Amino acid sequence: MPAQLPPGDSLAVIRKPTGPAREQALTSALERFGAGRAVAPIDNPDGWVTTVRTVPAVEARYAPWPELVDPRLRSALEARGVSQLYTHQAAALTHALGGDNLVVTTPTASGKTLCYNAPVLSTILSDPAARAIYLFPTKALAQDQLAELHELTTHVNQAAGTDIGVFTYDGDTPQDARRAIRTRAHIVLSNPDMLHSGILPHHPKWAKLFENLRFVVVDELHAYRGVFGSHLANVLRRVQRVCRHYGSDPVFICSSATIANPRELAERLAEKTFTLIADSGAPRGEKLFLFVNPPVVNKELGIRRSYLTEARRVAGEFLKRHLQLIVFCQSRLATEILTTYLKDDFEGPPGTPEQVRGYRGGYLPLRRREIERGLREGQVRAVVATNALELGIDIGALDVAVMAGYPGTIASTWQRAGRAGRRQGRSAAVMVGSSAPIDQFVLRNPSYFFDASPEHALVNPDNLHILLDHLKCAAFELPFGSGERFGREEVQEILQLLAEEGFVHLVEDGGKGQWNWTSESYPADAVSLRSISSDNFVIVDTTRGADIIGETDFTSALSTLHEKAIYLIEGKLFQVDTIDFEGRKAFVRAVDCDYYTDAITYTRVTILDVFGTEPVMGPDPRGYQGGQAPLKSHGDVRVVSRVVGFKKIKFYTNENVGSGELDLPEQQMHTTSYWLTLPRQVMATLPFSLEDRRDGVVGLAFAMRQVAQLLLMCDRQDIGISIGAGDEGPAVGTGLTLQDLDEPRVFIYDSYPGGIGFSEPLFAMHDELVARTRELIAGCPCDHGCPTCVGPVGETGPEAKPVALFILDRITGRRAG
Amino acid sequence: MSARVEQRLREILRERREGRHTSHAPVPDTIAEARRRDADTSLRAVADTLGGDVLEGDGGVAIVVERFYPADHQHGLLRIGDVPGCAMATAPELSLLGGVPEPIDRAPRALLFVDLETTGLAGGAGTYAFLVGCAFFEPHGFRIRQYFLPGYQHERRLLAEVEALVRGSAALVSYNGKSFDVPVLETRYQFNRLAPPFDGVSHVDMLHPARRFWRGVGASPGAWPETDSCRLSVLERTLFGVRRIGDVPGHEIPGRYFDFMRSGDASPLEPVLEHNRLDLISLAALTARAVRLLAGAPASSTSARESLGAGRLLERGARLDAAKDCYRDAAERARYERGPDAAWTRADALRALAVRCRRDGRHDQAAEAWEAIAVDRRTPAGIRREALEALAIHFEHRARDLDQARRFAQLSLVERGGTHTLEHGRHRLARLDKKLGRVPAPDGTGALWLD
Repeated sequence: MPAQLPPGDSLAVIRKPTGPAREQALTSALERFGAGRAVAPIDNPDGWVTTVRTVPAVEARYAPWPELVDPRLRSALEARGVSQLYTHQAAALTHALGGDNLVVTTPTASGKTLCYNAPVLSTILSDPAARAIYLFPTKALAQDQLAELHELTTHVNQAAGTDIGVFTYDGDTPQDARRAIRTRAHIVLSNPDMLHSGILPHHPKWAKLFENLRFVVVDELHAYRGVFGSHLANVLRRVQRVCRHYGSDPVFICSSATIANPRELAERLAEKTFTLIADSGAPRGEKLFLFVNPPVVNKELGIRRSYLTEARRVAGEFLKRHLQLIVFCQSRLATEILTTYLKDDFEGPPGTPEQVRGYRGGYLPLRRREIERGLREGQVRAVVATNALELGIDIGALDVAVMAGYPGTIASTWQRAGRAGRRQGRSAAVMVGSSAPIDQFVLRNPSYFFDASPEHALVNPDNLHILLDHLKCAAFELPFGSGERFGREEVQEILQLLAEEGFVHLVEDGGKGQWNWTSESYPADAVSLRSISSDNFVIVDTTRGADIIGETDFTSALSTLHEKAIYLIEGKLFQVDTIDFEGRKAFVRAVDCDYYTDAITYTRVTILDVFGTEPVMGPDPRGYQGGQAPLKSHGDVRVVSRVVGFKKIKFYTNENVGSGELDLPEQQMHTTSYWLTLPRQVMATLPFSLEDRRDGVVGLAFAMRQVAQLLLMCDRQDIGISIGAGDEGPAVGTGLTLQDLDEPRVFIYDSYPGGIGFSEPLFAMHDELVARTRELIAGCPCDHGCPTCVGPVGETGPEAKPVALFILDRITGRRAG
Repeated sequence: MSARVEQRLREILRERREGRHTSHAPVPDTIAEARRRDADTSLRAVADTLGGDVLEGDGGVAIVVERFYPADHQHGLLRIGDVPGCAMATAPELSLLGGVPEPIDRAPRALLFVDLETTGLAGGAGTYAFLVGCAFFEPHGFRIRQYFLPGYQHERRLLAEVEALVRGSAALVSYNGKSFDVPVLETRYQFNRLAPPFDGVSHVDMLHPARRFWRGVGASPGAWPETDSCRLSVLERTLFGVRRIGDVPGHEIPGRYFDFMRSGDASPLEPVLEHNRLDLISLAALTARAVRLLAGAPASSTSARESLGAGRLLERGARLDAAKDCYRDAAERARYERGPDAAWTRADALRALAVRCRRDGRHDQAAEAWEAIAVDRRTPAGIRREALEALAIHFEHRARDLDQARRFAQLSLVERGGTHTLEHGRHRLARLDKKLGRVPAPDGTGALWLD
């Protein structure tokens, strides 16, 4: 029995268990977690294993080959063992060959890539002039797909005597290979950034491709949300403009992880009508899903045992039993730490093959390929990875996926869990929560994860700042006609603005107007699809000479690169010595310390324009009789912020170990915001002191931010919070005033000039936002508030938690006013 | 983003939200008609300002500006009539300049000198060639024909005119045209979904031979030649004594065209056209100078670099004796030239000579050349080591003088170099010692100091 193996036994001599032995090993490891009892689906928020769920096995469903498929493709696929199609693959082929735009959301390992490869190859076989572009969010994914696709096309080419060329085209493509690729590639694998700055501005050189472009494949569609997605939507508008110029109208095929709105997202991004294929015909073995919550070690401060230590233990139980697993970490630093732990525990004597490997961005491609191969072939028994392995890179089917920390979104959690799982037999996924508020919320509300719909991916292609940037690029690529739209967007008045700035000029020609590009610049160079602005600070390491080790956009530079800030890159710590605002440089030095810094930023939000406002009432509207109800609103705001100081926070324990003051310039931004107005009557009748009321509102905002981030499926830096009266107040830098608390508003704004489309959905989701916030605070086992709910006690005061709850009860009508 | 743009974007946003945003409806027909009439007259005005004619046809309007420079026209110190214009097209040396061994089209057609003025240097779909300067020799002078683009919408007309001229010419001659002018034009054709006319047309890019012959010419004495000192304007001043007065700086050119697009006033562009014409004349003169140099080298040469460059091109064209004469001439001239370049030029020439002689089986001559390198105190270290090694090999295997071979092998070891070659040298020394019956020094080099 594997369970009886002595601890610390080297894996080197043991073969990986298969068949019934594998099942037994898995069962025995899972029993360990259940403390000897059979693992039962009982939610127990205070236990170690808080939740167990079983995702049942599914039988395969097959469908006949659609008639339109080229017989040569069919025989090539059959020769490779694809003798039957799953229902979703057949449906995808039928739709795509019939000219419908598609979005496919079947799970990991369901044969999703065939859903786009098959229609594309079939089309090229019938019409050798046909071309396709594949877009992947990262270069690594394109490389991975190249390997797979290349194998398939080699087969097809040999069998059919064709010459289908498949190439990647990205920043790494050598200059001298580019010309050949432009003429020879039937399928170009690239990324949105390269399309934006390397292909579209040079579209005449790609005339052959654009004239014959039949398919645009967008893989990992769910990655395109927020700023990146809003940029992609505009890049796709440019693609379609160029296609029209060359007389083509490609079909879009997108693949996506499970999100709430895949079709809506595809339709927002490509501005076309899409068919959704979500019903997978692929078989799936049974999967057990466990949530593990490390025990509280300091109730006062709300500190739990390190989730990394827990993840190490969990992974160890599986590794001991020779199961193959992947461990996902939330950061590169955590990846390295856990890799070291597991190597210490399980690596064989020096010289034997490495069985525990790390994997993250920053590793060289060759090493990555070697690890991927090792996983597929079984020599690598455990890999500790960042989200770099979450996306579609082929590593075969593993036995177990362990997540150290909640991945942040439901979609990405399922995606990671999908890394473990076979077509037959059981697999397991274990999520070990950290003490971050979101993690704790999910652990305490497993139904939020298991039963609710996953997140909505939100984009705002019409953000005028992004639109303006891409309009320049588009005008460079092809002159706009007067009356021409950009996608569905009316842009004539923005072109007028560009004309005033000298970028374009309107000429009349035969009754038609045309906006000509009148600038020497190459506008795509000034637009980065991934960062907030193209105005960057470079980070110069002066430890030995002056090496540039990174860059940061202007907005976050102020809060991450101020003097004495600790800057982290690849797990290494640097302290900022000086910052040169004019030269956009920060000079840093490698240091060894056990804390990081968190900037204290004061913000003041001024309401400029209200787009919508509604009273919110709980089940008992009588509570507000004679007084004003709380309001939810959204609109245009101006955010003025200033970094006034910083805190030093100890790693792992998150203790506040010191602080400093800073004198930095003010930042201004126009953006959109959601806000909650707490009426004077509610505030005045709170049975707490003014001080405590203030703490309550601050704590409430802290918790609301966490939940908003969860609901919006966005990153922490995508949104900001602020509390205030919403009018022109005193200078920023004074903190909250009495006036602010008279009738306070809690703002949750888009941290992007012009807004990225979070505010309106948040306005619509207000009820859920408030309800979830209450669940988060009420469900937290701490006494007076902790970093998991209303913020650390040291910052929000002892009564923050009860006051925040009181306010929430008031505005939801649980408690009469 | 400027505060003004920010402000305007906010206004646009507000207008949109309040549903009162004004779309720019297409201009009513009558106004358009009037504007078209205006446009017609203004095109004529533009042509008049630039001293050209309006060409109408399919795909828009082009303005062609033609100038003829008779034989007695002076370009700096150079008389147009002294440039062997038409003869150049059939000169066998021309293909040497293009780096193509095959002879250039010998049909009685002219060389087409081409130079563009563009709306930018970035390339890509939004970089337009607003002026395509073309020029060719006629029996009694030099003719320049410039095609000016009065608006992007007229591009197809201009491209058709250029295509006709390109197809009728023997070869293109440009300055950096392989990297810039032709790719930009190709993009313009492809943009308009037309096939570029350049496939199968020979193209001599004079930048590369000019670098061989004249890089560093005109740089201040003693200064290390800059890589960009091969600008046409620098060369024309030094080689032909051309001084431009009131020339437009290159970086101002796109802006002047954009101003014209907005104002319709072409007068600020007149100096741009003149700039382009002067470039074309200089390009033709430079080409003629290079052809003449190659035809008479080494007698026609005026510097070591010219001789060395001519030698290289002649060698590539398989005119080996002439090439060797040029290398010898270059080595000899370089002895009396100043500047940091001279030592390199001399060493390069001797090295080229040695390699050529060895390939021809003239090992004694090759050894002579290597020796000349080795004994010259100005020779740069890397080349000296190479020469010493070559000599060691020569004496060991050809001349079979082991003592000499050993001496050179030892000398090669004291020259600076990578460890790989050092290993090689030690190996050779050890072998020679064995052949000579000596006991090799323990580290191979020690013996050097005993000699």
